[in-house]
Amino acid sequence: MLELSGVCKSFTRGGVKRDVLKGVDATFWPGDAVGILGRNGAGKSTLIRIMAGVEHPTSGRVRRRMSISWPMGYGGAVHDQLSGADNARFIARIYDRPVDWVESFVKEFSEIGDQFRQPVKTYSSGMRARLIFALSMAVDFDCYLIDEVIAAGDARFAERCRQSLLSRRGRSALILVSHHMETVRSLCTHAAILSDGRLKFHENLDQAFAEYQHL
Amino acid sequence: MLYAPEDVSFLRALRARCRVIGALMLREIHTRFGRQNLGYVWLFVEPGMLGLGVGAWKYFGGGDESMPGGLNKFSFFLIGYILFYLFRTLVNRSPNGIEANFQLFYHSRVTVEAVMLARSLLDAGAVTVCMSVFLILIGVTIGEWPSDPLQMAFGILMMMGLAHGLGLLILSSTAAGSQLVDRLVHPFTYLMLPFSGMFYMVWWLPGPYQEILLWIPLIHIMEFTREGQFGPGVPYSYDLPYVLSWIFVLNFLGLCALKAAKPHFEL
Repeated sequence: MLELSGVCKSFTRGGVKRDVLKGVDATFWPGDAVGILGRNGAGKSTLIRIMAGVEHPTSGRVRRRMSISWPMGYGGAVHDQLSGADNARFIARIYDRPVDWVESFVKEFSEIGDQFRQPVKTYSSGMRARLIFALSMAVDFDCYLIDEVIAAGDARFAERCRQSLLSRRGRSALILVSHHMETVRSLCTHAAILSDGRLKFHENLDQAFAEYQHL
Repeated sequence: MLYAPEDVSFLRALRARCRVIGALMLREIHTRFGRQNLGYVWLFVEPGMLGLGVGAWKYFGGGDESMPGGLNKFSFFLIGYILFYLFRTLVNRSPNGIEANFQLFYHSRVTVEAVMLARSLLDAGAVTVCMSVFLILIGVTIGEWPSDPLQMAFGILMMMGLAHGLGLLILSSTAAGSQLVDRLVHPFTYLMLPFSGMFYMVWWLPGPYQEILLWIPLIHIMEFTREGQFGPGVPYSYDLPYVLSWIFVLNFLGLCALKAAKPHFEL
């Protein structure tokens, strides 16, 4: 279970305070597949980073009672100076997975080839995305946080990502943030709309899409 | 099956923490020293070379003047330098603890506290191995062996605790947006050098100065560690409860400050 209660987040830039999230309440269970829709700048990325624990809320509380992935779709989560293999071993150790198994799984799944032993900074953006996705599959999280990862990498790999995520639907939770309704439709069963710093849930995808279009 | 921290027994949580800290230490070794070049060896060579330089300079440059109490100059300055090096490294590096490791915080199991602790432990370990190597060399060549190695190890551990607590405070204030603290850290560690006890022992000085200097916890740690090397024969001035109180209070305040600063972290 992942529970957010009264989560607020504000940033202060040059003395000006801006409230990005104004009290988000939400609970996610394993098996949920929720798409969070929001316009650019609505605070989608901030929200998913708070869920992942990358950032801390200004006020409010986040309780994590299942293993939560890092927010996928960003550059983070891997270290540039280390090789893909070293990153895999590090992540295996952190999440208590068999180190050698994770390394070979990631090598195979990511299809990086010989560069697997080179520093990540030498990778192309597609290879990077494949590495990060493969790492998250190797850890086998209870909940995946995804920010437009489907757009990264080539079409064939994107389809594989989609299939891998779909095959996990039911046992892992999936939280996807996007401003594309199609992406949400292809992976999610429920949708929520983030606007004006608040999150509103809709049981029905079409109802959510209709409201989203009116924003 | 994975467990979130709130879900588990204390022992299991502790094991998970230890595993994360271990992984962080390994990673820190990889990123800081790389697999190429001298690799892991560099970890020990760097403080060693500097300690050796200072030790040799004092030994040969100091001429015939003998040390008060007939202490071996080489081991005297080596211990002083390496201990101060540990303090300086940990404190100087503390402000960039978050920026330099921002990728790590994408993993919810990796906390700022764990990253800082892993770094401190790694440096303390490096310094311990480095000091051991040089003290063994001194033992083999001059025949002067440490009188109580365990006491010296405890001295290093206390120095780590002191610098770690101070580092947490510095990190919290810089993370909360204070540029001033960030700027003052390097001058502070330079200015601490004469007050660290690296170049002298307290009993060499006149009484009034002794009293003032003994307010500084660094000096107690120096004296304590040197006693571990030279043993009885010269007077040492230290007060363990005083140092341990400093360490406890600094770490406690540091952790509180870090908790308060967390909502202000920007990655």
